[in-house]
Amino acid sequence: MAAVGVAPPLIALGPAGWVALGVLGIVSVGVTAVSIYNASKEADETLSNEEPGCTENCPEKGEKDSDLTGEKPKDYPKNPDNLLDDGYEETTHPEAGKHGVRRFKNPKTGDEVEFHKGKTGASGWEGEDHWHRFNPNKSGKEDAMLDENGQPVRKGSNPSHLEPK
Amino acid sequence: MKLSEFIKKYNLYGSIITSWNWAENHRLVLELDLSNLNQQNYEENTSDFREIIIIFNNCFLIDTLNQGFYGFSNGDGRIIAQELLNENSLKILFMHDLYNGESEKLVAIIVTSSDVLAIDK
Repeated sequence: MAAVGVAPPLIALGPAGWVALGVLGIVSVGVTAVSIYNASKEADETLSNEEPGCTENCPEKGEKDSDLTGEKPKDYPKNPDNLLDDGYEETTHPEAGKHGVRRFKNPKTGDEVEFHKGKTGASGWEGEDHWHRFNPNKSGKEDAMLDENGQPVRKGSNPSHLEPK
Repeated sequence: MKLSEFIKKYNLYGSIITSWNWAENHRLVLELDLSNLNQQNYEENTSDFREIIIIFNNCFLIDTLNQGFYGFSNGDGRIIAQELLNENSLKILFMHDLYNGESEKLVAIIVTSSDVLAIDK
């Protein structure tokens, strides 16, 4: 840039000025190139080439991101109220609630689950706290619920009962 | 048998009502996939369900939620609770699913019957 500013007087000096202008131009280009090289080297040292990572509420190593995106509960909690912290809303019918059956839906994903409070002295699953998770793509009773791996199973079948953790 | 005796023998919790038929002379006929998992005599190697037919004679129904429920001809009903009110009256809560994309709908019915017959298919 300095070479541009002093160019008219040097040109007016004739051949000697032209030579001086040429030398000044070469020096300017060299200085600019060194500055760019230094800036690039500094950026390489301070910035990573890796893709931006999670910075908040990050999954632990080995844990899938989807566990935290609301696709399904991270766990089926012993206390169903804890599901409210995972972004689910309670849609329990009052009459069902009187019998220990509570329903929750994630408004973001549409995921629906149902908690059954075990009854003291009852046989089988009726005596155990458990969850059911519903298949959003169900076509009938044979695939109406999901097992613990998210696979469609028969409504009310043994694998449709999900144990709280 | 009386309803109270029927309930001692069969636990309806977790069973699926697959057919609901209101017949003449106050007779209700239900076809069920009975949940073996919730029977007192359940053994691990038996299947999760077995088909039974229940006939409630001299039957009267009360739709406790006043939804105008008179039975169904499509879908099925998943029984989520039962409560014996007296020796002839049983309250059944079930989730009726039409498989039409909408959520299940809760139905609460009091079944009164002085004579119940259960047939294992």
